[in-house]
Amino acid sequence: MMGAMALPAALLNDRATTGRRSPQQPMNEARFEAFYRSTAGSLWSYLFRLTGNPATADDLLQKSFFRLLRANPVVESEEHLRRYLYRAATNLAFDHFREMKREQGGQAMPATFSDAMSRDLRHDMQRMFDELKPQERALLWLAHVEEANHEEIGAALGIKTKSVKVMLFRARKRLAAVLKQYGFGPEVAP
Amino acid sequence: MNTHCRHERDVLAAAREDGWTDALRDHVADCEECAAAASVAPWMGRLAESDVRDRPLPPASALWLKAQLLGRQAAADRASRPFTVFQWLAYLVVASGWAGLITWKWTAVRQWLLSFTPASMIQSASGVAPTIPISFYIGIAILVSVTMVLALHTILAEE
Ligand SMILES: [Zn+2]
Repeated sequence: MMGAMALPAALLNDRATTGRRSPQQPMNEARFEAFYRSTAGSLWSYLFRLTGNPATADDLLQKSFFRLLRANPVVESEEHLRRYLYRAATNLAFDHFREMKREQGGQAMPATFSDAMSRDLRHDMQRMFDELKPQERALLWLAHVEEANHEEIGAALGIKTKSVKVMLFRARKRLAAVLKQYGFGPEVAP
Repeated sequence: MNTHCRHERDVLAAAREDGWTDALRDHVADCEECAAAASVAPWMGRLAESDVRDRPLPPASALWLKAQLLGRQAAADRASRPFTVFQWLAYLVVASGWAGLITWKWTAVRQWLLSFTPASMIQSASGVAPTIPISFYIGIAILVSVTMVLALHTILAEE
């Protein structure tokens, strides 16, 4: 679950000493480093799977953290920060798609891989994933990999929790259809 | 389809860890939502496992430092905004001053410009050229000084 992972020591410090929920704290370098260590890897994977481009994922990762820091957040809980971060990252990724679409004259630009990866099996998996719309990719990644619940997914994508269920169902159906098209049968319970 | 199926998490966990129970299998057979989740869960798991990051992430300290620098830059921009407004007002005042002087003293300006022609120089030498009012020269002197001060201020501010 997005907010269920163990809190890093620097974020937990006050809770450990006082034995109660830590008060709201301004972000400082130590807290930021702890939060970054616990979230940057998974956020990069999310951005990479959304954009299909490692360099773009690098760029958007940095921008997401800058946006978080610029908001000058109080460290209420890691979950709170993660929600903000994923929301910022999703917005940045969607902005990126809109910009790409404008540059391509209205044609949705498929995500691209670097040449070094092009002959890789991973490329085929990403290519299948890229057949989905960005929002569908985001929904599936957050639900299946980040194990986020519907409320967390809604917060990250800026959509109502109630809508997540229907949209996620459709995204799963779409992915199943794409997998079938590429010769992967339905992988239901054995 | 307004509330999500309470078995969805168990189904996803079963698909991920291949830990299917008979009850879950029966449920998936009846629940469209969980069937859709289960049909793509193993593939999503493999996609997540095939992580392709081939370089280290930028260090947190570098990001922190850059964010601080960007923050300071933004604060400086915010602080200099009233100054910039003042500067533009000053440009506007000086430009209006020049425009006003030229319009108000247009006859004098024309006389002054014509005074550089050879015919006017001859007339001036013979003492028949019309005289330019002193207020025109005072106006010019004031506006030239203000313009120079403003230009100098702009150059120094940019440096
Ligand atoms: Zn179900």
